[in-house]
Amino acid sequence: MNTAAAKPISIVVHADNATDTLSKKQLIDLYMGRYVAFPDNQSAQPLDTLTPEGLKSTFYKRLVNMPLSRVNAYWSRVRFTGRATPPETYSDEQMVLNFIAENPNAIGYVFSDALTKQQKQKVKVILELYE
Amino acid sequence: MNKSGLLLRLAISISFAAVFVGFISSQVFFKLAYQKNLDKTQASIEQLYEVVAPTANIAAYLGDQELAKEVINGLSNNQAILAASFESELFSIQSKAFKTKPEKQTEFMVYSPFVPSESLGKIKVQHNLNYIEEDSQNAASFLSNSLLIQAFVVTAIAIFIAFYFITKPILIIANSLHSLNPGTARRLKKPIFHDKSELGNLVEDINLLLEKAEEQISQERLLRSEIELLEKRFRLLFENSVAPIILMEPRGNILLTNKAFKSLIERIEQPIKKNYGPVLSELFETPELVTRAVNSAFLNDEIAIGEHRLKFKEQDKTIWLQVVVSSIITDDLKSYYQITLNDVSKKRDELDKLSRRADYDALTNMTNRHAGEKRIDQLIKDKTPFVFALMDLNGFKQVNDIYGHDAGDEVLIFVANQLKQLTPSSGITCRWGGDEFVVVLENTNKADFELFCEQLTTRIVKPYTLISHQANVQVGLCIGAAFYPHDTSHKPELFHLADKAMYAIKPESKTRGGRTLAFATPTKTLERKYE
Repeated sequence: MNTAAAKPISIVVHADNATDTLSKKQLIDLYMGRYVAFPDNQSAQPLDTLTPEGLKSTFYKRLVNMPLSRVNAYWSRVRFTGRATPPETYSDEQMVLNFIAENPNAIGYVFSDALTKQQKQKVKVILELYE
Repeated sequence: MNKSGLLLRLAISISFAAVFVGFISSQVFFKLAYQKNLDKTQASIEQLYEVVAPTANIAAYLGDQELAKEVINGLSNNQAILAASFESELFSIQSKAFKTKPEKQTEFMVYSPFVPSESLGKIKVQHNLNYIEEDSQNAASFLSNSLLIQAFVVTAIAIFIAFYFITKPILIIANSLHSLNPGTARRLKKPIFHDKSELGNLVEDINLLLEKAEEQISQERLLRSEIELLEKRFRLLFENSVAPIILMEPRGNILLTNKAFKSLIERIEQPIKKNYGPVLSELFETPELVTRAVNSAFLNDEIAIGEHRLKFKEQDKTIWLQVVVSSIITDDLKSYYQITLNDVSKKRDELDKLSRRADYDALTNMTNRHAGEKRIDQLIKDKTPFVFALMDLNGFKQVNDIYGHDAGDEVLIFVANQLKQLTPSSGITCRWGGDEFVVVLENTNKADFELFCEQLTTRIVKPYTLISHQANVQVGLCIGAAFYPHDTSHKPELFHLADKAMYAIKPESKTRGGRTLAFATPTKTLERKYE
């Protein structure tokens, strides 16, 4: 079995979301609080997840090449001015996927192998992050 | 204080040097400090930026003006930074003092915190050059101030040392040297602490010099006093010499004369001149003779001595001078003539008188028999025909007896004068002795001579008034004549014939109207006798 660090991560949105693909940069801008909307101006709500182990850290490592501590430090600095807010955090992948399935604005990330066929009908992958 | 004194010069030189060095070094130091400060400021700004860079990146990334302001304020608060600006796609912020044309600024690129290659804006930081300059200036002025103080202290110490160890001793030496006369026994004292120093050596050398000077001066004084004495004596000798002494150049330029020469010139009433021709020849009657005599003497390496008559007379008195000329050649090969003149007029006069006495009769001032005979000898030698007439006075003995010898002398002078007046200059008149006179006439004949005798007799036989006795006296004359070489060519016989003729006529001449002249009649016996 692949370790967390080696598994691909899929960036998923609501199946009805108008955005079909997203560049890595666009993803960074959404997650790091620069933009609060998809490229088609539909507002975006990024989500973080605590589990499974290693997902968040791997995600941020692949996204901005930073450990979580630095990402947290970034947010602690940014939050102070109120200009941007960090993504809302859910306890696990399934809750994230569920939330996305119900919210067209939401965007989240999961290990690609965690997506079931059933779930794939409700959400769509717009980007995959590899090691 | 002496303007060119050692101390002042030293003080001025040191002060100038100190100020100069201080000025230059503070300038250099300022430049160095300024450059160093610039570099330091650059480094510290870069460092500072590194600190604020993450915040700046975030501010640019998010377009967060508040955060950007924070960055700008943080930068501007630094002393080294004058102003700063933050330009990004979303905003542009600058601090108050920001200049559009800054003296020096550093630009920093602002990148995305997540995509380092993505540039999001730039931050310009303007350096606070005034602060840097001020800072450098402060450092430099501190240095120059401390240098000035150091210079002041060094100058003061140098002056102090120079004064106590150099100037003061030198002044003491100089003052005592100033008041010291060379040639005296006074010497300089060594300044304290300078026994072995250069000043001590200087004093020793000066004293040595003074020693030598004293010796030399005393010698010179001695010599000078000797020379002065000698000179005084020479002057005495020269000036008081009765004989005129002249020093001249061979060409006649007079260099030196004494009083006697001047008084000689005054006596002959001539102007005092610088040149009277070579060997004073212009003063003499025969200049050529004088110069020739001198030249010939010098040619023979002899001293020229000669007696010459001056051209000018002193109150109609002829002056004869013995001229002694010697040539002097000095060490530098210059030739001079020394002329000494001796007045020999008196000697000459006496000589003249002597020769007169030998040849003349003192009473009648007429040639005496001795001189007369000499002249007759000469005539005979030349074979000149002449008549020899011997005459004797009649009545002279009576005048002598009655009126005395004075009256007789008076008569003799009277007769002599008559004789001299009548006789032509070529003739000879002579007092033969007692009341006898002789007349010799050249180239005459009996008739002429008879006429002459007639005139003479007429003059003499007339009464003569004696001055001494206020009395008239009368003397007669009797003449015997013989012709040379007609009667005889033999002198003693000539005299004898005339004498015989005179005695033959003597009785007749004493009578009134009688003949007074008789011619000689030669006899064979006599001729034989005298041959």
